Amino acid sequence: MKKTFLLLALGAFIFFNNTGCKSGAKQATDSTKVGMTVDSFLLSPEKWAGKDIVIVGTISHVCKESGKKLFLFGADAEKTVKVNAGGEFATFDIKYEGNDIELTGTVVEDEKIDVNYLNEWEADIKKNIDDKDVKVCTEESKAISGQNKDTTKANKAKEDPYAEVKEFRKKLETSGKPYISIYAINCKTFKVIKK
Amino acid sequence: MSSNSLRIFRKWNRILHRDIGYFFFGVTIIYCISGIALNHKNDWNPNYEITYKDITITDSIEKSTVTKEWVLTFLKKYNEENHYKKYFFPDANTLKIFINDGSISVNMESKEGYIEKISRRPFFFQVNFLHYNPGSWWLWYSDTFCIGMIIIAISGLFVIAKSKNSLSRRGVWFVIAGLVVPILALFLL
Repeated sequence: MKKTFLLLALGAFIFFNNTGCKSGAKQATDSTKVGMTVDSFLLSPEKWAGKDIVIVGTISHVCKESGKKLFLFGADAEKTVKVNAGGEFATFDIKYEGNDIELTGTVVEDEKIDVNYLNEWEADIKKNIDDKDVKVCTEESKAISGQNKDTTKANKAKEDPYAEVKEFRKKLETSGKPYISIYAINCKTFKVIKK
Repeated sequence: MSSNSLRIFRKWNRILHRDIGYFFFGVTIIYCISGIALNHKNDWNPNYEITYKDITITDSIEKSTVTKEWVLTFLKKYNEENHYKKYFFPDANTLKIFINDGSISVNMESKEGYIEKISRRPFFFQVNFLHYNPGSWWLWYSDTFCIGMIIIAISGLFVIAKSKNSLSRRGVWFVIAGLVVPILALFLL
């Protein structure tokens, strides 16, 4: 009986020690290789739909709830691209926030911006304005805004928190389509870039 | 089924039920605990403990004057100068500084901000990591576990030989009652 307990205790010790240092998915290895920048990707993300790309950028945010997505930015920190966990990374560890990485993944149509989506987005903004203490995650909408080509008007109307939503509503109307596609990257692997 | 084959069936049924149950004891507990933790992720963060500390800046900050040196001096006030990673401006009014295990966000206009500190929840972080399916061989192991659970469930039905507590008498009502709940959920949720 004593031996059984010792064996179980040893097993638990090994399990938690191993996952303790490796958890948050695989350890990203270091690299000095360079791929496409976030800014060049955002110029025409639809061009890469369904294709594998290598992209470099800085991780601005990792979803703390699930660890299932992160956001990358390049020279313009106001424009980000969303990366979904996958491949070697079932989840992303928060410790990678602020790191420069080189990521390999597949470009996918991630969101369809339709009227319902815009209504919900508007409600989220309202919630954020109404309750300043609530720290609402705005990264998702920022990644969507990053793929809005006509950002100049939105920037001019910076005082209006609903400017982006209005811009998308107008875009949706003129496109004649039921939705606007927003692209993200499904992660296969990534490496931290050594400085 | 002859009485001899029935006896052999019951013997192997018991062995499978018992030994698979022993083998998967640990992983069952892992999946159950992480299942409860993840079920309630709207009420708490099952992986990380996150704390916020509000800060107010006395001096004004100009985007053009912010450099790495400035940021390091700024971090000294909060004893975080040795934890610096990177800084950037997520929008025109915000300065965000990444530090080890967190970040500092400052609204340069209102001079208000907060320090966010993040630490892994011991035990929960590890069990949730496994629950999220980290891929490679664990995928196959967790599939095997699921098959094991199916065997345990089915063999469990036949562990008790013919008596008032066997499947054909008392057991069947419990099985039906257990199935009614998910069927009701399909109609009501």
